[in-house]
Amino acid sequence: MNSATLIRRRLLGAIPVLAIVVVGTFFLLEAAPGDAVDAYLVSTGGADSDLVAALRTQWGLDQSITARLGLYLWALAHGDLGWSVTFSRPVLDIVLERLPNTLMLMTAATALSFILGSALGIVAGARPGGWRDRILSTTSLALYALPGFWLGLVLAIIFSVQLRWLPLAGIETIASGKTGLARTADIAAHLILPVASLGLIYLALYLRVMRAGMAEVWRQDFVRALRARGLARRTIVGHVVRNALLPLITMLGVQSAAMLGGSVVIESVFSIPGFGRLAQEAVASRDTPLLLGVILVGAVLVILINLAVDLAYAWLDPRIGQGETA
Amino acid sequence: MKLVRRLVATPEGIAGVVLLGLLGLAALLAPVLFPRDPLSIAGPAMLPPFRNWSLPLGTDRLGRDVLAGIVHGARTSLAVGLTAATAALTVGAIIGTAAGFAGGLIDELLMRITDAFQTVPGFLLALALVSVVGPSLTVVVLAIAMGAWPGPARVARAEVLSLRERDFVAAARTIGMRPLEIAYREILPNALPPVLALSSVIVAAAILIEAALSFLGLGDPNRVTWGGMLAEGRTVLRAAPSLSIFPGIALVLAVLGVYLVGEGTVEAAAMKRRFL
Amino acid sequence: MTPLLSVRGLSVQYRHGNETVAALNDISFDLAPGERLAIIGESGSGKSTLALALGGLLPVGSTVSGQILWPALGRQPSNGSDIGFVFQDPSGSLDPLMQVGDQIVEVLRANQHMRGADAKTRALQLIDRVALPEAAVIAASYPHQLSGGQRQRVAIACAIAAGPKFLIADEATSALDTVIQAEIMRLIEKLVREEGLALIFITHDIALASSIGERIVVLHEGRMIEMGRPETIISHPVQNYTRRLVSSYIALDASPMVRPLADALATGAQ
Repeated sequence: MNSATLIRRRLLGAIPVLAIVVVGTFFLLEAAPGDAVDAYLVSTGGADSDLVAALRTQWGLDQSITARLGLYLWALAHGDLGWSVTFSRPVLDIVLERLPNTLMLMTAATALSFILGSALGIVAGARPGGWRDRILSTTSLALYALPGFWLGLVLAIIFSVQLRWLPLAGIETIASGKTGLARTADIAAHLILPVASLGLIYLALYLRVMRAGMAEVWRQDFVRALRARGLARRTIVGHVVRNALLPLITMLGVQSAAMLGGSVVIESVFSIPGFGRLAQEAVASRDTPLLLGVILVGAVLVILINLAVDLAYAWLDPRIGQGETA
Repeated sequence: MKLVRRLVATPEGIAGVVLLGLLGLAALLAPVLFPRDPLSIAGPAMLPPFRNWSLPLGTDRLGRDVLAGIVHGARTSLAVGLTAATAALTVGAIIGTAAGFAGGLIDELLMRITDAFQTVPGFLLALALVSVVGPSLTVVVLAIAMGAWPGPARVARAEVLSLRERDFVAAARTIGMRPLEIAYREILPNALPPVLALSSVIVAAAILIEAALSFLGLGDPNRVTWGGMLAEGRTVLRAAPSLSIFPGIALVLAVLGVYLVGEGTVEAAAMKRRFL
Repeated sequence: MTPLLSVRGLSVQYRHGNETVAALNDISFDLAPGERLAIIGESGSGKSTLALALGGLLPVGSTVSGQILWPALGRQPSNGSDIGFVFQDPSGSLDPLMQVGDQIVEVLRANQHMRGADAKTRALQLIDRVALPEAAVIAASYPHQLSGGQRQRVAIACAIAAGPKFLIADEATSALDTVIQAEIMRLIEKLVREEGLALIFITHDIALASSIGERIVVLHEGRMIEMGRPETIISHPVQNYTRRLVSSYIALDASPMVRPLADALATGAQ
């Protein structure tokens, strides 16, 4: 099956899944006692019943659940994710505004964890049982047990509070008026700690998986055949690495969902105005359309990332995808 | 029991059992060791650690005993971890077995539902549930289980698919066992081991998710939680960094203990195969 | 003539946890340059262990005692340039992620330090040598795109690429269909003859052993129990085990072991 078929299949298959996500989440959130109007009233300190009724009609909250679901789906089909009470803006606008920050965070964290993690995993797996392996395995287990947000706090204590090397919160220094390269450097400095907090945990994961994968490949028959041909040890390690790398790539897709969830807490710790933090803000203010929008977009993001990963895998593994029998 | 003995023979197993044992003991004995309500004021506010023998880890912003908080927090974390994992494994095993055994449309439908739960990041699901029902221990457990059950479901289904074709299933059919009976009395027990292999990962994840939820203020407000303590500590990060460190260490030790026991069990099971 | 290989009292033990398993016990034999020796034995006889021991490919945790001498070489042999290996599983000899032509080139560059273009040409020649048509197409293929027989031919090409004087074939045909098996046998025979290679051919099939070997060694539970020329072994086996091995071989002209049921009932009824 080639790339086009794979894409088409996946996107078609994603539709029922997304449908279940939308409908399921909609009903779940609608089951909450109290609605957006109640939340609004809490923040404004109450109003008379006429105003309350008018608000309900205006926001369409006086109709039945099924009717509201229908309205929502209809709006969805037109790219309208609803109106956020908290921000007084369309949900889609807010989401799209916050998304790039989180994508930056996730991309950097994934790059860090995957590249460094697999590199260290290769070092550990080149000689299973060796001293490098033992040190790396122990360290990675301890690292993997750390809660991401706690790592963030500890790093913040060390690097922001004590050493004052790095900024503590936000994505850039507000009202600093920096542009171009200086602004990029500023944003990068603000991102170092959050990326480290998010990435180090997954680094440990990829290290362990890579190491285990290599140990597995070392046991395979063809490695013995390679040794029987007098190849240099470095060449053989190259073979082992390539074979162990493939399963690691599938993990990228699976871990993206987890990382998106992890970004919620990290963004909270470092006050980063991102997509993940949006979820927390939506929960705090009972902003149902916003929360629904966040979950939906999150699901779409996960599906797209998984699709990209699968395509990459098919491209890298000659046993799948293009290339038919000679 | 032989497995347990072998488990303790591995270095990982010993370390893990010791860690978890200590924490479990602390959790069980919390009301004995620290009979006073850990949320009550125990001394002067912001007392630094290692100054006062009766308050070894100091006090927080409101004067609450940090050590008491950590010991009582162990109850919450371990309880949530174990309950959520059990729920996730049970639900996942049942659904996975049903899907694998029934096949056809039921399988398709159940797998789509599993996909849906896996596509939404588990933490977001938990947030949604907590926002709907409100923060309480039960909700936290449910929320974690909702995100964790797809994993065991897939493993169970894969196992069932391969077991379905085996002889002992055909034999059961021949003697007239009803499909439901076959599925849950013959197949599920044999499909369990790989599912149970996931248990340590799920328990660890559950402990971490509960901590994260509490950190965000979405945990049970009536209980002491390590995550809640960390959230408190964050407000005085510069003045009293130790408040942000100790609960975290407790978390790390708990999760580490769970992982070590898990790794030790894998080692122990592998040892058994080698001798066979 | 100085023997190429001289094995004296070779014993190999594997260690599994607390247990020690003796895989080979006191093996001694000589191999002359260009000689073809067939080693025959059943599963667990230690024949693969012998092959691995000769190539220094035993797993970690093995204890080796005795001597493996190479008088004609005068030094320790290098895998690839002195010894070539062909293993049983054709898919277990090739990296599934690399084109087979490149894998042959790899052997050439490692052992003979050939440069790129020369190595590629030589690789194509080797593919020809193992009787695979359309060498360029084969060279660009991945292992999963080839059949079992084709993969084994490529494996043989890798084995002889660096010009070793000694080939070890460990059950090289056992995983193949009968027709392909015969073809691979012929290929090995041809190569060995044309290059003057010494050959150790390991198998459990006495017919194959006697067709290719100038001498046969019989292994049983790690011990060498008999050695001799094929005709002698087959017609006048000395040991009981050898006798059973020979007699249990079923040729196409042997009488049927399972008679049709009607036949049996008819004769039985009388």
